[in-house]
Amino acid sequence: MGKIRVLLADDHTILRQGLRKILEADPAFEVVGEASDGREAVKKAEALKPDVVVMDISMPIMNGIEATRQIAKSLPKTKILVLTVHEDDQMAMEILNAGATGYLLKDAASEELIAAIRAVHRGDSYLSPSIAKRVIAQYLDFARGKVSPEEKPSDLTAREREILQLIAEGYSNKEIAQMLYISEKTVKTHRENIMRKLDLHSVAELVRYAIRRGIIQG
Amino acid sequence: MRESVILRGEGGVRARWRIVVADAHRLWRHTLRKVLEGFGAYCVVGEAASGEALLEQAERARPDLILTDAILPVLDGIETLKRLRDVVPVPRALVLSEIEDPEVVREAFAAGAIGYISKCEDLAVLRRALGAVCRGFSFLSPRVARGILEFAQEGAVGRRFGRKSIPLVELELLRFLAKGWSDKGIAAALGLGLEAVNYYRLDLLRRLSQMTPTSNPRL
Repeated sequence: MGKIRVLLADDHTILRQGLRKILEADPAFEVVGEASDGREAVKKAEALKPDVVVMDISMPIMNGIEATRQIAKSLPKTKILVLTVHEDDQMAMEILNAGATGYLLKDAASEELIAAIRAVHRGDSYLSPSIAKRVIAQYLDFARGKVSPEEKPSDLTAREREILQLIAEGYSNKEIAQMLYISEKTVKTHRENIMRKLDLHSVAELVRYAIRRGIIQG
Repeated sequence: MRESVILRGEGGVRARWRIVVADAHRLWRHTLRKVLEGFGAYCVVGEAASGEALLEQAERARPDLILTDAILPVLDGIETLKRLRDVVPVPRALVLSEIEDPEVVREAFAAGAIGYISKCEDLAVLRRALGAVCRGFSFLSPRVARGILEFAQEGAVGRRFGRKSIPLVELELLRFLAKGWSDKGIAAALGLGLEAVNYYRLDLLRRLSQMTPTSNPRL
């Protein structure tokens, strides 16, 4: 069997480059690429078609949840293992729902990372034990219909979620237009739609929403 | 200088700097151990997941260097650095953190750190930082220097900490550091010796660490 081809996405370069060394010490793995934000992860995943993407959640420009959603959609064979500090059931549910099949906390040992990559590559799911417990409890709440309306996934499009993060990070319409290769007018339209759909009335409200939903860090 | 681990390898006898690594997350600690030992000149003699554990490890292992995050559970990284001074003869401390906020950098230096590096830099920068700090030189990674440069030029602080109160040579130094220049390169560009570069960086950090928190416009 060939090597497991891995793409590492994390904005902490020291960790990313160190993990590459750890994985490459094991002949079963080949690190085919690295990305320091979600947009780069999506681009590199599409170009390199890795077997597994190891995905951080909190990243600038595009967070790991959105990147997971886009990669899961365009590359159904690529498995996504989330590697994060967030011991948060809401966030775990959201990113598993977006298409990740593993959720590993950064408090794991390096051997556990290797086991988790192998597991998602095989087609299994892998959850850190403390997260598994929370996700099951959360799932049971879902099953019993005890979900508060506010926490229901919003009906924003992928583009709108992308722009939502960029607005919350403080980029202007002009800067966003340049980043996404679209016109400023289009950005303005998206911005208005986001505000309307989420019933928000100022950028401050939008930032608070983005922090609450884990789209950016507070 | 405290006693270092002596290893007899193929290259003959060489000393390795003894380091205690503190980070809340095990994967970070494992990765740093692997990376540091891969550099060849370092030996990780202790790992700590909290500030309290760091104090214990430092007292037990008497390392040459402490590599710690600015935020640690239970007892914060910066508070721990302050307390370390009472526990052991001060080992050199390098802060490695995702936090690039100049206010936190200021606190870290005031607490006794002599180097600060962002987790978003690459391994080559970490290697340079360790080399500098182990030899007793101060260190500021490019992203951290960039943060301080912006901070120094901002509004009220800019007036207080900025151009007027920072000697021109130190502002120049900060600009070079923000661009990721090595001390050697900066020394050549500014027509200074390496010792002078280190002196000006320490002086700059002293100015930063003496600022009162209320002079930060964000507070």
